[in-house]
Amino acid sequence: MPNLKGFQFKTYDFSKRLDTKVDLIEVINNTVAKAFRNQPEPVRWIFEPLLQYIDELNYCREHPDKVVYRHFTFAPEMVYAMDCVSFVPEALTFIMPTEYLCALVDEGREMGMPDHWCGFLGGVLAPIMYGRLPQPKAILHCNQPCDNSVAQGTVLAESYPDTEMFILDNPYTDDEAGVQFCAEQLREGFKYLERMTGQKLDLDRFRQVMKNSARAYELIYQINEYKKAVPCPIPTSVILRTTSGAFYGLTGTGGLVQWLEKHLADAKMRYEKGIGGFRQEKLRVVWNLSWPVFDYSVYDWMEEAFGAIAVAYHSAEPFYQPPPDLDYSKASFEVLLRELALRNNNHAMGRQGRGHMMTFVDDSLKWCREFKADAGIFAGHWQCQANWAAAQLTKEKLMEELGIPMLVMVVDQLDPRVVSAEQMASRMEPFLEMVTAKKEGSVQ
Amino acid sequence: MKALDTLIQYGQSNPSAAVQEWKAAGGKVLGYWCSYIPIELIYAAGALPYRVRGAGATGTDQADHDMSPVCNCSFPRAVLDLAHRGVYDFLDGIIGMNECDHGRRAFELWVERLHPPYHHFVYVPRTRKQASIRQYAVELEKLKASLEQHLGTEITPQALQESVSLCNENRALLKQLQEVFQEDHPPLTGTQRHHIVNASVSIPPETLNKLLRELLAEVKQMPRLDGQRVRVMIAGWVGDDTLVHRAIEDSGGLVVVDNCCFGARSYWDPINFDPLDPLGSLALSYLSRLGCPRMFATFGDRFAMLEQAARDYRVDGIVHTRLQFCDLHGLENVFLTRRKQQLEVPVSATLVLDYIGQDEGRVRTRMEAFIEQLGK
Ligand code: SF4
Ligand code: SF4
Repeated sequence: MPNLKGFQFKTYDFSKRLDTKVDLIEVINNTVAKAFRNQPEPVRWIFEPLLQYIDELNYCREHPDKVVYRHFTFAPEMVYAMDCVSFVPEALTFIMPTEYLCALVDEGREMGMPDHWCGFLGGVLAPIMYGRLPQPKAILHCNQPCDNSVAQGTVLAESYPDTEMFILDNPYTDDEAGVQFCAEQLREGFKYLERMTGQKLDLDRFRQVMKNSARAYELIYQINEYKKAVPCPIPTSVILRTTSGAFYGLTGTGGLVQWLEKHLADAKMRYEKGIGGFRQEKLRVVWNLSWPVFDYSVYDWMEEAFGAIAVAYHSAEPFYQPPPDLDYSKASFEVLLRELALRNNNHAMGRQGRGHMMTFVDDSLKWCREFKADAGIFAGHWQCQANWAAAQLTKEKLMEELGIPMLVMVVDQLDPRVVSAEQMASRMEPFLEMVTAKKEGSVQ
Repeated sequence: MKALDTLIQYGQSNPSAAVQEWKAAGGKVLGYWCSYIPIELIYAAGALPYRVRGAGATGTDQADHDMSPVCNCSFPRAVLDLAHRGVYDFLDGIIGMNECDHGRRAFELWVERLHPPYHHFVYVPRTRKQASIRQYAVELEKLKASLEQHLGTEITPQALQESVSLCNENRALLKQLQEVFQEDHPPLTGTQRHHIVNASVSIPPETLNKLLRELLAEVKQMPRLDGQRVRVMIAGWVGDDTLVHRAIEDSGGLVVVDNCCFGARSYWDPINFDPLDPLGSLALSYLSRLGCPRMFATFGDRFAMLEQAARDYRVDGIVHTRLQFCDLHGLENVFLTRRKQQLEVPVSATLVLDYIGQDEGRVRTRMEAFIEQLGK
């Protein structure tokens, strides 16, 4: 029986408290960016969007007049349409080395941040409030996916009292009224950006950005079709961080489109040759809600020990359906606004957080059904309260409708001090044993 | 029985005798989750608005099946638990909203698992911009239509105006009662006032107005509290629980004012009603009144109220509280710490609470120490 013994998970050194009063972008340049650039040739392409995003962070330092802060679920197309750079403070926590994240979370707690505060946002509380990040020209914020994000709006308001903010009230419903409400606000959002940046919106540029965005969604949709094949031709764990990061950060850019084209060609080639991931696929698993970001060897362990391939990540991946067949070169401002509203309302994670909990449940069912999952894993980032309240219902529906079990476990996506990779693996081990036995027919 | 005793009794029971009488007379009662639901509309439709509370809950195990205690707030879990146990079977329906993630989900789970006879969700925007006020007015239009259909009634402009007047009178009388605490030796304790506020969200407005008027007359004759007490303000969130008030007052303090939701925020500002734009004016007024942290970037409003009230009520110290896992009130501590110097009175380290008071010993020790520190 496979077990945890002998598997080497990532190790950390928390013995020294790191100096957090440093230039975080420089830290990222000197650590993860270097590591991405030094990847071996056959897989280096995978990290390109992350490097593109890091380039944008660097650009922000040199062009303060272009810096627009954007919440991670606010569709980035709006910023690119205004020829500005989108700076997502929370994205730094996603990219930075774990030891820095932990030191920053501790610094936030010293400032009075609650212990349970989400590390994605909490990791940048001190840098924002102490003014260590590039000063924003404008701030786009929104109320999805959670209360953490709403309160983060006050962090920004308190930290930049002289910078007016634009806050998108994301609707609760998915109907046309919800789209219209969003579109109506985005119209004001463009006026706001024009006022704050002193630039005029160029309609052709907006068209091009939306065209890039539509193409990106079309490509990811095609890639996802390949991922449904058995065996799954894409070593998902390797590419996951890039795909989700790219969609959160770069939708609307030509760079993302070019990268997705490479990604699609790779998926197609692997599919046609019948190549799966790096290891033999025995089980297919969907991560419902979150997935550990701090240590990707968790996925290696699952694959090595159980042949359990993570085929989809419910909250990380763009959920958007292929966009309508639109001639973007002629589309009116109104049509583009509506499209942009749809992007916002369906943004990964925001979509499941802002509305009724059945959206979360139904999305879980959809992913598990379409990707032919043998099991779901609800790795509940312990600050995602709205989604935690949907866990039990999701578990019941997966069993009732698809006959598959779902493990519910507590994680912190970024902070291994809450639940370590080893602890996760020991929670998953008996579960995956049970799923294996079930699949082999020795257990009903 | 004196008005004070009656109101305290109503505040302590869930549901109160006043609700039982209303039901016995054939009246409908609709539960609602949060103070952003305009009770005026419910009352104008002929039903009694009843703010759901956790009073009487002894545990949360039934709710915990769905709402994990890993990270979900104990207040909505307590409310949901009571619903599971049938305590809320007297409700003829329930109205939910997106106050916080916990409350929103608890409402959805109530509907999903318990199938109340009527339910309606109101989407309440979190900003005060024009588009959001308009959207909220549209939501109120939907609530109105839904109530009319469910209750087989019509909410006329006149009925709505009367309802607003009644509820505004509730607020004004509660504020008058509040102002009694500006005296050096008021006749009531903060614990008593908190019970009265709890009663105010769950009895008919006419009954409340009558009792409050009687109480204000009684108060004039009542003996004043003696001794020198440390004057405390509670900021944050305590819900309908009185543990913190009792812990402070048993340690020699007096809670003279607060900025809580079950508290001053519910009566601080009147609703400005415009008969020419009934729902639009309700929307504007509800979104603009003294804000809860569910509203974006409104800490400044609460802070201004804190500063003013600390002066008006000659506060010696502020106790900052929140419930465990509350993000919205949680970050206020950071902002408060930052602006503390402006207040000129000490602010406690945040007192983190669980709604159901198993933790009484810790709360009492913390409050004793704080009062001692402020000691006159
Ligand atoms: S949804 Fe969860 S992970 Fe995302 S910001 Fe909110 S608490 Fe954090
Ligand atoms: S205390 Fe906070 S989390 Fe709990 S119900 Fe109130 S607003 Fe929601």
